[in-house]
Amino acid sequence: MGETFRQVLARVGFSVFVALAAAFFALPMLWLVFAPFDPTPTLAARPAGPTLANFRDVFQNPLVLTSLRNSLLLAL
Amino acid sequence: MFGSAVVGQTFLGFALAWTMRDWRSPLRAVVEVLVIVAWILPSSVVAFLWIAFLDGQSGTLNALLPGVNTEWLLDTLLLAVIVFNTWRGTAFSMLLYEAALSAVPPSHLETARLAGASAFQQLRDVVLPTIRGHILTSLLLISLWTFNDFTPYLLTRGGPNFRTEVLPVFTFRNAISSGQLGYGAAISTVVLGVNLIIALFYLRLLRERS
Repeated sequence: MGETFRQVLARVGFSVFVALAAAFFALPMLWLVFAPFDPTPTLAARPAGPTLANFRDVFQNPLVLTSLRNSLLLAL
Repeated sequence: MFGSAVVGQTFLGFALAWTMRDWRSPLRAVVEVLVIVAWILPSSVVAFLWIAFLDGQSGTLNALLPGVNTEWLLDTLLLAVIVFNTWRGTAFSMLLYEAALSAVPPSHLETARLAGASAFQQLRDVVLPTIRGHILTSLLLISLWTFNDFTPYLLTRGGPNFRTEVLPVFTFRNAISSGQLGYGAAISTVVLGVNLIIALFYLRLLRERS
């Protein structure tokens, strides 16, 4: 390919940096991917369920609709 | 221990914008979306996420580090808040520097490269002088936003023993929770004064440009 050692090194360094940055930004959000579908959620990020019971409970609470409406009124 | 969310946000944001500037790959959009989602999630959601992430018993961070049981929010105190704030705010710096870097004329970089300038020399002698105004504007805004940020309260309630309490949280606790009106008003004035000093400092630097 005609790449010098320096260019290879720069590419490896770039990949490592971008991968670490992506992990830094993604990892704290990992828990939010699993917990809403977890029948017995803890603070641990682990696949469980999946169940939609948590979402059903949310929409059965009448106060949710009030706050949702308030937020929309503020934002629109 | 030296740590600053403004330094962290600026360096990480600039590093992402600079290293990815010529990267043509769908992965670039993935990285950018991750950074920006961290910025646009509501504070209450973000606080919840980070409490789960840093939990000592079953937090994601400790699960990834075998044999570590640190209760990060209690043991590393402000450092945890600084890392959190860097995570939270880097997107703004990244977006601003991406826009700024696209305004650097490619011909200037080309000339520097033909003259034999290394990547670091191009950065120092061509890029940084061109985007100086952007850097100062970004520093002004994120210094003020970070200084006035209330989100650490959602994460730690200022505890343990007030050691992660930032000035806006202190103001809230004294003025509103404890109802000390005069005291609270006095701190509010101090907060305002610090903001004015930060703003004047940067505006002075900006004016020196012309």
